[in-house]
Amino acid sequence: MTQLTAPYELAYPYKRSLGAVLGTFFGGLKQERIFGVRLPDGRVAVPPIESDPVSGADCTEMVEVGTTGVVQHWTWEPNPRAGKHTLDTPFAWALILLDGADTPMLHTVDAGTEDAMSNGMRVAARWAAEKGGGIRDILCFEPSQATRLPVPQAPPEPLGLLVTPIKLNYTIQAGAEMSAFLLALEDRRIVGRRCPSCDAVFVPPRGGCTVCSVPAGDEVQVSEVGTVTTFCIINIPFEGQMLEPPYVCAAVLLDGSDLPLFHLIGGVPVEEARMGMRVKAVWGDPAPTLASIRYFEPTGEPDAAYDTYKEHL
Amino acid sequence: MRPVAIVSYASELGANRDEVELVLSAINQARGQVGIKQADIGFTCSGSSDFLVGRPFSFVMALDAVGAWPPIRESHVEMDGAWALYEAWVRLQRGDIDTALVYAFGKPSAGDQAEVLATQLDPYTLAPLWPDADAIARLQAAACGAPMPAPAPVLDGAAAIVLAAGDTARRLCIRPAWIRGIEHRVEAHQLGLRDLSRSSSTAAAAEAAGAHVAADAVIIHAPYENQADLVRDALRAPGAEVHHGPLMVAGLMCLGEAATRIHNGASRTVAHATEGPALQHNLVAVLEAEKAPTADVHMHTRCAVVGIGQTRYAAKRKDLSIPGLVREAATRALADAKVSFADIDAVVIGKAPDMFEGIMMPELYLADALGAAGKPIFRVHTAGSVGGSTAVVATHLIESGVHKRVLTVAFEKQSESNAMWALSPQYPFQPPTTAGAGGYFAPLIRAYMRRSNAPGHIGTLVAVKDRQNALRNPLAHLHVPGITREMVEASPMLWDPIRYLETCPSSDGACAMVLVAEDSLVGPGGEAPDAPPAWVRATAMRSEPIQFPGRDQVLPRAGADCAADLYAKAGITNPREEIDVAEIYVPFSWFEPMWLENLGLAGPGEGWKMVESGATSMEGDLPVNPSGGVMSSNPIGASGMIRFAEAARQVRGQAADHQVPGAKVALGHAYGGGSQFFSMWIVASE
Repeated sequence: MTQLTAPYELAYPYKRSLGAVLGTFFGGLKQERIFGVRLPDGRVAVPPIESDPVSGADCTEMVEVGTTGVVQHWTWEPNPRAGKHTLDTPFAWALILLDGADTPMLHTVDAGTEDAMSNGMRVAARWAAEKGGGIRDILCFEPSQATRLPVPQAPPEPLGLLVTPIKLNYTIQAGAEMSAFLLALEDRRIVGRRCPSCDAVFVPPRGGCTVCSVPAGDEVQVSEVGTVTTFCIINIPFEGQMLEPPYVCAAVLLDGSDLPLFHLIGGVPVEEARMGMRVKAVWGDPAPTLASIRYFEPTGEPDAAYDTYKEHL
Repeated sequence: MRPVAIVSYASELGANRDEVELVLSAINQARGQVGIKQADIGFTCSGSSDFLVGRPFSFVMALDAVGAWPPIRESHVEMDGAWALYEAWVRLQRGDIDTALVYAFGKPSAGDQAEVLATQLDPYTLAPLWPDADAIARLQAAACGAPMPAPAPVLDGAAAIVLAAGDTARRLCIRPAWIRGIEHRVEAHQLGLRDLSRSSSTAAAAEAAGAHVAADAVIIHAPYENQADLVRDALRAPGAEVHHGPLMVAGLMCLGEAATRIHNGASRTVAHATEGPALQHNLVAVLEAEKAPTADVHMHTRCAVVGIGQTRYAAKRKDLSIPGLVREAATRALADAKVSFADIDAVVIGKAPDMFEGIMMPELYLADALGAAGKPIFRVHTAGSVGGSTAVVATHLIESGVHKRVLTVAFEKQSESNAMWALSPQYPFQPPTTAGAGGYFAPLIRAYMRRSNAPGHIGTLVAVKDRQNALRNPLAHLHVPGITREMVEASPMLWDPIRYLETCPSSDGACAMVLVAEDSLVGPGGEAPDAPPAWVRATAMRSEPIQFPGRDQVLPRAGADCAADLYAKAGITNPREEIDVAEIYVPFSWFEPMWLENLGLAGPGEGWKMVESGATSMEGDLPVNPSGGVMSSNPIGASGMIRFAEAARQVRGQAADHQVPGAKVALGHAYGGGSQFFSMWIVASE
């Protein structure tokens, strides 16, 4: 059984508003300064948090700490992830207790080799050339005997918004039934599955019968002609849209199928789209995708009577 | 507690099989072992994570496998299936049902599992550095002086368990595995605030569950070998066996394996589940064979709402972070209840797909914001109905006697991304026609108009009414002074037949409530809340599959069944007469007449006439959405809870300028998915 797969990327540049505590922290990083926050028990937590995890009390007093500190624990990262990690050569992940802080922060240490890393080693922040990237303004820490403590100066301008891109790559499998359906489209055939228990025909097929809770049964070919049960006209542009509005999106009940298939209606002005309209598939370039049906267009037959499809709304 | 047992367990592993196939096989085996059908099952609950395959609502697809027709009582947690089992166990404690089906699925091989898990971390100061889960585990090993662990296994699969109570368990299974204790605890999220050399939350959960006892077998979920040692220490069980399984399924499999040992002759076993970075959140259960039958008695404590807090709603709450947003609602709810975070026993969070904020299972990160370290925290995800479902789960925790005082919070910060994208990204093999929620629901509205012969202006009337109501609600996102029918009719057709002003906005916001047992109306501080409590008279949930032949998507049976169940439990025989005010989930104005019919507040085809008569306006006999509703504020994950909370405000007499005079009985309603998930409650002043 051929199983179709396709690459898929979940990617978005998330825009994070920050509020006072995180805004000050990131505003400080832009000025190569590091701030923590005073916890209710008096300790200084870096990075700062807005509230105490145990009592829930607000934490608002920002306390500047040093940009140097001590590695408490570390682990080697032999395989930096391109485009994700701040360094492209092997480095260490480390919990670093900054001078003046009471809780360690997680960041990276560029020591060149694993042998150069040790618990208790002193490190200093190495700053990114371009700032405004949040925690990535600290490019990494590096071995250093320096001690850089804060000097009295005006508080930083809080950063208001931080963009944190996420990009994850997946390989998506279509599933056996959907693969068969899509591969048949390449041959201009529309196939579904018949439930072995209730005889209903599912197009597109699903992994099983959603009512009977049994695996999908035999493959069934259905007609490329069907009835528009209901529809809407898309006038709104949106991110990731594949067609120029306006266009009609409709539920098409193909002859021989028991489930409406969502697809596009073409070959007719959008204002003439209507419930009950009889339509047939217009095929495009053969490919194992639903887009190989470009759209459905009117057959010219008289409209189906409402009673014939009202149970499918 | 009521005696509840695991009576069957099955798992199905294997790559190259889709989720529906895996779930179908596991649940049919689990049901088959005890010879019951879905219709015999009182409650169904599942666990999974959308981030594993990068697809919002993956649990909706998995529901295809269950056979959720006729509609079922169902819920979903965006957590390991062990927590779905916990929810089902709580649900069974209420005594009105005797069986539950729990399942979980995960297909992490679709992506880079370790890298995907980096999105569980603090989205501001940790996730942007992309430390993957293997690196975090190695760092924890370093903190313990332990050898570097191998990468976590990557497995695909599903598992299912049938739970049964009392004599039903004894009838279904020769040797039921009775749950003698089940507890879970979370730790702080920030690694620097934790003692990484021990699993304090496992130890605390074990202590509370009574798991520090001799057992024939201890089955633990530890993705990394160094973590296994920490769990063994915390359980005081040096011989504990690690049982590997797919992410989101492994914990449920440990419970299943521990139960299987009982079924096969063991007297007592312990099971453990974990999730989150470096063992942040842990669950422990003690299972026993029966020595002598215990009585099937259950507690039923009445639940009351004594604290309500909402944020101001806006397109962008630029002044707040996500923790800040959640805390704005939570601290207001606590203040209203005259209690503090320290007085709270457990936290229940709800929100819609994690893609909105790009944080996988954000309850782990938000534990810090909600003062939850050392407590149980729980995350519900049932699509758009989630805000309501979350409140229902929190109510069950009180009614079952498990907790005295629960903080429940629902939120969405939609401005972090884009709602159209987050709800319907271009996922492979899907039709090229996705057009967000409007594109999905507009054809259903057209079908309603055809079926009921409703005139075209009904949607306009609702749009004007809800925006007029919003003018009396200072928290509402949309304030449109002087809103008129002409303005609505002149607004652009977005998804014909839905106009711009007939749709909901996209909002940032959060809503929170403090729910308490009837003997805990006054907090430990001794100060009574200013407003009287809202008593939860009844809750109900129903789900049905998104597609099946002949499905009525306009007036889904799940909604009608849910309402009928709700009214029966609340002792309501004439809802139109007996309900004083309703907060109904209406994201597109046309859904008001549709839901009036579905809820039995109007007869078939009569919903639009009820709207036209003005009955649902503030001056009518059944005001609907005095707050302005979803049409005026829509942080999706919170929208359902806002309906529930606004209903409670009305019967507490707290609704200020949008108070319905003398309101004593109120309905809160939420729906989600393809009009397939429903949650509702009735709250009353007495």
